[in-house]
Amino acid sequence: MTRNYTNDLFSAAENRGRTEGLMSTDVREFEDRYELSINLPGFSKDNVQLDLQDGTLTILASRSRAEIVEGEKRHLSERFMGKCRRSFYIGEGTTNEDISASLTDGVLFLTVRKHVPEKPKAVTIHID
Amino acid sequence: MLFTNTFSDLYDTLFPEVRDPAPRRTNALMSTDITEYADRYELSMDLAGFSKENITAEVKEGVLTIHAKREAPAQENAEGKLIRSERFSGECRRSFTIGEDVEQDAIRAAFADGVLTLTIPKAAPKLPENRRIAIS
Repeated sequence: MTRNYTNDLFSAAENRGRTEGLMSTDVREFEDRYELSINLPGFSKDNVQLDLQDGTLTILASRSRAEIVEGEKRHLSERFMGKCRRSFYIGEGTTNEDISASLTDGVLFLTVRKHVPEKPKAVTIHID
Repeated sequence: MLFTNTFSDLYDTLFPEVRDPAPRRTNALMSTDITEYADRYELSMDLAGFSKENITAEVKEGVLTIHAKREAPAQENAEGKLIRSERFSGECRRSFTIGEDVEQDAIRAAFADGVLTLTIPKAAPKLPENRRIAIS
């Protein structure tokens, strides 16, 4: 089972109040970059994958727990185990070099450098 | 949005089979697994983004209570402008009845990668005492 979330980084309003889900995300905007904090408790670095395609950044993560053996008993099993995925549109011009990532205390921290498109140069046509 | 997500109070029992079957609380705040082994219970609770300093666990009268707090992020400051805010901030608390057949003084806690793990040793079973009744 894969949980799938797709979002536009720039539309903040629709997801207010979605505070308790897995992969809950805060996005902070700076002049030159975005910073994303994504909750991934108990996920190891080896099981978190980032893909950038057509301006969409996808975070794919998975975790599992030890199977119980005879004589052991699971009394409560609420924590999500399996694969989850969430995508953010971050703009066509963004490349891998614009993104850095770290995972600390169950929070994936991403920095996405803003890609400022070059302004088309105005061409002055000389009139004779 | 005032008064939303400032405080969550969740109650549970270590033995959910004794209460009504509740819907699976996957994906919620403080999601918890409890596994029983021969000599102990292990409790794992998701607390992503909380720091160790802001988590407390205490046992009182057979009830284990975990309390955690995360400061609300500033909406706008030198640190940039918050344009999406989904992560929980505020205080949350959850209690579990652990009963008397555990070694309450020997509970160990660890916090790593946003997961709180409590190891709760079972108490050694009390052997029934042989009571000798004096015959008068």
